[in-house]
Amino acid sequence: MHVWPYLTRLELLALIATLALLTVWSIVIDAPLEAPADPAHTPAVSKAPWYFVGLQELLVYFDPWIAGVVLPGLIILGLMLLPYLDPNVKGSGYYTLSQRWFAVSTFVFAFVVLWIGPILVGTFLRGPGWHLFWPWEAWDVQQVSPIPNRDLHEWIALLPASLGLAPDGGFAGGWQTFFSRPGVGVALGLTVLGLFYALGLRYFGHLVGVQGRIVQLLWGRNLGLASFSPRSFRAELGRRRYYIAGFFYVTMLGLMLKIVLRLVFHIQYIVRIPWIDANV
Amino acid sequence: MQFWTILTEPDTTAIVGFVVGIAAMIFWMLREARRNDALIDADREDEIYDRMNRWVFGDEDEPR
Repeated sequence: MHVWPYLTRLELLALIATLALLTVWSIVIDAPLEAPADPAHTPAVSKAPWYFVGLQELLVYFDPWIAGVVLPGLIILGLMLLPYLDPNVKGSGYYTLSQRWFAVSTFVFAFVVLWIGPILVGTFLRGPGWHLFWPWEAWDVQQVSPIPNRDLHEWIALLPASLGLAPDGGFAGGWQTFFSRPGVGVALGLTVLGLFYALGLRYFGHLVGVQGRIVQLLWGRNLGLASFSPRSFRAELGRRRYYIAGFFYVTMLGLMLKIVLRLVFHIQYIVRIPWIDANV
Repeated sequence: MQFWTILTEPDTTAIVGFVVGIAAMIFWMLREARRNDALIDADREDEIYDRMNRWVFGDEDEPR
């Protein structure tokens, strides 16, 4: 392998080509600046620069301290930890899926679905009032309607009523009264969250196995999964790495699940503890 | 504002270009991975570095 001078020469050429392209681009295409701010005209929707629209989109699903501080922090921390968490020495210097299916498929999913996805949704599907508009719908300011967002315990409280059981009196009424209590909501939310992480970490290896099967199905090539087992996966990683990697993996899945809960069931928070501003 | 209008306005040139670039990189990565995996399956793993080095050296024979 010759880095000098072959690779460095190529990198220098790529650098010059990129610089030339950006120079021409910046001369030919004007920066898309809007008119000076007008106090008499408030835009219907204010969007961050495109590279931050993904984080702005996450504000729909999470409190600002999670969407703006915890999640970006975890992403940076996770990327820093990757070299120490990955025991697989194969695939260095070349592309392969059969030898690195877990790393490659997890990265592609996280990058495309969880990073690029929110940027695309925020840019192209969010209209006035940050409401979701499908491509075939007009961005009509007059047509927006509030979405009834509920917390998990409120959603469960209203479940019998939404299934058609009469909410006044009887089982459905008692159910609704019980689950409407904020204290019950906090206990329920913390239990659900704790169970999610406990089960996720316990079955981290199993989840990875399922992911392998999905990748194998999509890839159409044998990935050698016969030699994979959750037990061997855990043994290969070791206890500490298993739990650290598992935490990031389960958090990633939780992020996706939370987005689904919000979009499909209009559930705003799993647990809401407003007096310490801890709404998850 | 309609979807197609915003898709083609200068404001979103960067993101459309970005998405096309990402898609191209992932396609290229998977195509190379498929070819390398075929070499692994055929027990010719030692040829992989030669394949990948073509991107640096070209097809000519460089000293190794």
